[in-house]
Amino acid sequence: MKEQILVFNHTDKQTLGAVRCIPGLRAAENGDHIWLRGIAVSEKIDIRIRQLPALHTYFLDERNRLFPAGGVTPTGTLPSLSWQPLTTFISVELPVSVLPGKFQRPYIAQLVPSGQDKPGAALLVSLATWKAYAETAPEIRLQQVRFAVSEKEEVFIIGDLLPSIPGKEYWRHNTLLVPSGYDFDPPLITDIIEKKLNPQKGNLLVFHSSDEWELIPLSCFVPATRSAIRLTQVSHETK
Amino acid sequence: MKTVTLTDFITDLTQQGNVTVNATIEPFSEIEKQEACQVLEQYYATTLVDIPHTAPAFLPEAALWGAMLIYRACQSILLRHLTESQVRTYLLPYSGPPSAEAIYSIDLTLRFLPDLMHFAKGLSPDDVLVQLLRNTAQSWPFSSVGVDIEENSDHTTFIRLHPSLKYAYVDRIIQKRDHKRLTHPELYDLVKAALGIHADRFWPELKHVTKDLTHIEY
Repeated sequence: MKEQILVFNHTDKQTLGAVRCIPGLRAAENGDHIWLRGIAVSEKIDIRIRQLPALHTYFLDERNRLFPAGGVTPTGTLPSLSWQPLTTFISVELPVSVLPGKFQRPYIAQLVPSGQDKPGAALLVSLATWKAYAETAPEIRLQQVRFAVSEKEEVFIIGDLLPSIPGKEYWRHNTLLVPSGYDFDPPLITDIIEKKLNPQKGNLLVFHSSDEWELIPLSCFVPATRSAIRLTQVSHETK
Repeated sequence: MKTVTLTDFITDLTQQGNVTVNATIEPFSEIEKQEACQVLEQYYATTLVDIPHTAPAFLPEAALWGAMLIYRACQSILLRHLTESQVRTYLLPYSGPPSAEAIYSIDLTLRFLPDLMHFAKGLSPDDVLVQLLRNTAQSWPFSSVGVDIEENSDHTTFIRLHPSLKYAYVDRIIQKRDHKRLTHPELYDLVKAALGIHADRFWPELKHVTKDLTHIEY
C-alpha cells in the first residue's frame, strides 16, 4: 500500500480547511463526494487528518486498487479525477468586516487655533501697503515672490521669502493656504479637502479664519516686479 | 548697405540688446541728434515704472552724450584701423556738470557699458579704447557696477543723496555682488538691510566684508 484515500460528503468541504496547509494533499470532486489523497501510509498520520469526518477510508496499492480499512479484498479502483492541490481546491476568502455599515453623518471640517509653528508661505496685504513697499523694496526681495490682486484691493503674495510688511500670514500644505496659528480639525483632513475641492491642483485654496474659503487660479499670480506692482494699481484704479 | 542712424542704434540697443553700427564714422547730423533725443526720452519714460522712488528728470544733452559714446565705442571696437587720436576724439568725456539728472539720463545707454567692456576684453589692456572705457566706467559708477574701478566719491555722493538712484544702485550692487562699491557706510547698511536675515542665502561672501571695507577676510 502506498497511500491512504479519504472520501467526504461535499457538504463537509469546509472541514478540509483544517488540513489545507499540510503539504502533499490533493483533492478532487466526484459527484456529491470529495476525494482526498496524498496521505502516506508509511508515516504517522497527522491527527488533523484523522479528525476529518470521512465517509470512507481506503488504502491504495500500486495498481490503483482501493482496499477498505482492514479489508484484504479491493472494492474498486481509483476513479480518474481532476486532482488539485488542496491550497487551490480550497481558496482563501477575506473575512467580512465586523462593522460593514457606512458613516452617513457628514463631518464638518473646521479651523481651530493651533500651537504648531509653521513657516509662512503667503501674505494677504492691502494694495496700498503693497504699493508703498514696492516703491523702495530691494529688487532681490521682490524676485522671491509672486502676487495676485483682488477687486477688494487685497493682494495675495506667495513665496518662501515673504516681505516684512503688515498683513495676514498663511502657511501652505500643497495647494491649501491656512491662516498662521490655525490648523484643520483633524489636521490630516487637508489632503481630503484638497482632493475634493482642488483635484487638478490648478488653484490655490485659501481658507480664512472666518471659515470662508476661496479658489485663486495659480495663473493669476504674476512675478512681483516693481513695474508690475505699479501698473496693477493703475489698471485697478481705472476700472 | 543701409545706414544705421543713432536712433536705430538706440532702439536696437534698448529693445533687443543686439546692435549694428556703420562701417565708416560720419558725424551725427542735428536732425539725427534731435530724433535720438526723442527716442531716448521715450525710453526714459518706460524705465520710470521699474526704478525705485521717482527717477531724476530727463536731461537731453546728457542722454545724447551717453548714446553717442556707446555708438562710437562699438565702432571703435570693430574698426581697428582707427588711430589713437581718432578714438580719443570720438570718446570725449561729458562736458556738463555732474548731477542726479545727468547720471540717470546718461545711464539710459551707459548701463550697457559693462557688457561693452566684456566685449572689448580681447583687446590689449594698454589699448587706448580700453583705457577710455575704463575712464568712463570710473566717471559713471552708477552705470558701471560690476566693473572694478577706484572710488568716485563725487558721483557716489550724488547717488547717495537721491533716493531713486540710491536704491537702484543698491539693487545693482547686490545683483552684481560688487562689494567694492560699498564705499560708504550708508551703502553698506542699505545692502545689509535689503538682504536682511537672508544675506547668507543671497550673498554669502558679504559676511567677509566689514563696514569700513578695510578687512576683506577671505
